[in-house]
Amino acid sequence: MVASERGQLLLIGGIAVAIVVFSTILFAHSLAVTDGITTTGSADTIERSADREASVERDLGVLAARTRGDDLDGFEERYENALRNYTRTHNRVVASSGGTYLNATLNESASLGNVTKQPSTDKFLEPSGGGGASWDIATDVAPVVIFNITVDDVDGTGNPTTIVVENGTDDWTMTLDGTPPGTQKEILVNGVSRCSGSGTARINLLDGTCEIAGSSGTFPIFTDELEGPYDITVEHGAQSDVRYRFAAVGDFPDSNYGPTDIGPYPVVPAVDTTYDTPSASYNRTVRVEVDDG
Amino acid sequence: MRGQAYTLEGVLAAIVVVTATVYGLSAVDTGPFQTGTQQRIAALETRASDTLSLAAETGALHNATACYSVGTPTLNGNQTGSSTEFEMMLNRTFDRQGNQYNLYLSYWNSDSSARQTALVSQETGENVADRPADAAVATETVTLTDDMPARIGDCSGTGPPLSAVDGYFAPDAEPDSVVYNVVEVRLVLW
Repeated sequence: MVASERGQLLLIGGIAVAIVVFSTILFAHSLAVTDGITTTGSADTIERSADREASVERDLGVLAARTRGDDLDGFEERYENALRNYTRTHNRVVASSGGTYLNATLNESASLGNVTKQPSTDKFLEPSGGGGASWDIATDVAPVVIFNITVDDVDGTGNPTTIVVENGTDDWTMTLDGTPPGTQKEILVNGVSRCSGSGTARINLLDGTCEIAGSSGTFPIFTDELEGPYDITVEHGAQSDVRYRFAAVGDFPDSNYGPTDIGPYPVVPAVDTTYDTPSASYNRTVRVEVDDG
Repeated sequence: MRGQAYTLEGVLAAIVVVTATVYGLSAVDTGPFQTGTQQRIAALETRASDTLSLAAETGALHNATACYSVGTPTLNGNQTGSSTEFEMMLNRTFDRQGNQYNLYLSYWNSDSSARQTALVSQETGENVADRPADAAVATETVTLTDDMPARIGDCSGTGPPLSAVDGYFAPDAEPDSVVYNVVEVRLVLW
């Protein structure tokens, strides 16, 4: 064997040995990683974290439903207060079993939803003043959490004011009719009379209830009749004088509203949560599914 | 020529070693070793945790918590014949499989050191003391609010609000808030 061949052999042999050693190190490392993530303790920790988060998110939804109730005003403050009391009691209870420190605060900027309202009697027109033939309250709407209308007067001549809810394939209508004009009213849903009488009409479009001068009626609601998202339109709004409140997640057209006509409202509240456990500490921002159950 | 043969032989040998390592690693269980007892506890923990999660998802756990100690309690640890949905789940999942369990309801009470009540699956008071040290444990929390109705009958009927029920096992931990109490349900299974 000549010297050059021996040198070449030694070089290639060294490289082969290096490949084997390097590969072994790689495999050993992957083995360590695999062992780490398949350890029973690690799997349990991950599973318990998921269970804990699901449990806390359920509780946040229950609290949101209980604090919201039928009262739109001050929901954020009530929910913040409920979150403080909930986390305090939660931490006291689970701390005794070596559990988790939890902190939860409402994140208003990450919450979804807007509210618009007309608190004093006026024509059922765009807040900016237009929309005599028709105007969109909101489009691509889901979910709706508040939709109340108080009808003080209807014109009774020409086309009556009609609220049209569409989902692209079907529609649902509510007509605010009245003959003779003035306080005499008749509320029709999909063409069927549901409430009539003389006086102020109070309608809750989500509960499916209407009441005129102590006489009440019920009607099928659009959320049961149609699948969302919805486009909600008011036709011939100049024919009636109303007050209303509407809160939902959706698009509120800029052309219909001035800067102060709509405001943020946590229809889908976002909550910043902090979990501090013996094995992990982390933050999450969750959108809360409001649970009325 | 001979040098090339040696080189080729070395490379082939390296390939054989690496390939053998790959096959060897894929053929063996890389998880940690567990004894039979550890495997049994792990399986029990999974079943206990799944049962509680399922009961919480369906509302059965909430109903059972709001029902316990109200009127004539139907949630009572009986191994058979319970009409309570949550207890039927426990009966089917554990009692019929020969497992035993204790159920602990922990809550906050600022006026007393008694912050836990226990429910056992056997009709013996000693069962709480008898439970082995290697039992599996799973927990779930239930949040109660002031206006939530107590559950009556088979725990699906609604009664008066919890805050108006005399003798309910958990007091109002936050009187100035909508929050009534938080109950941690701990299932100890063996």
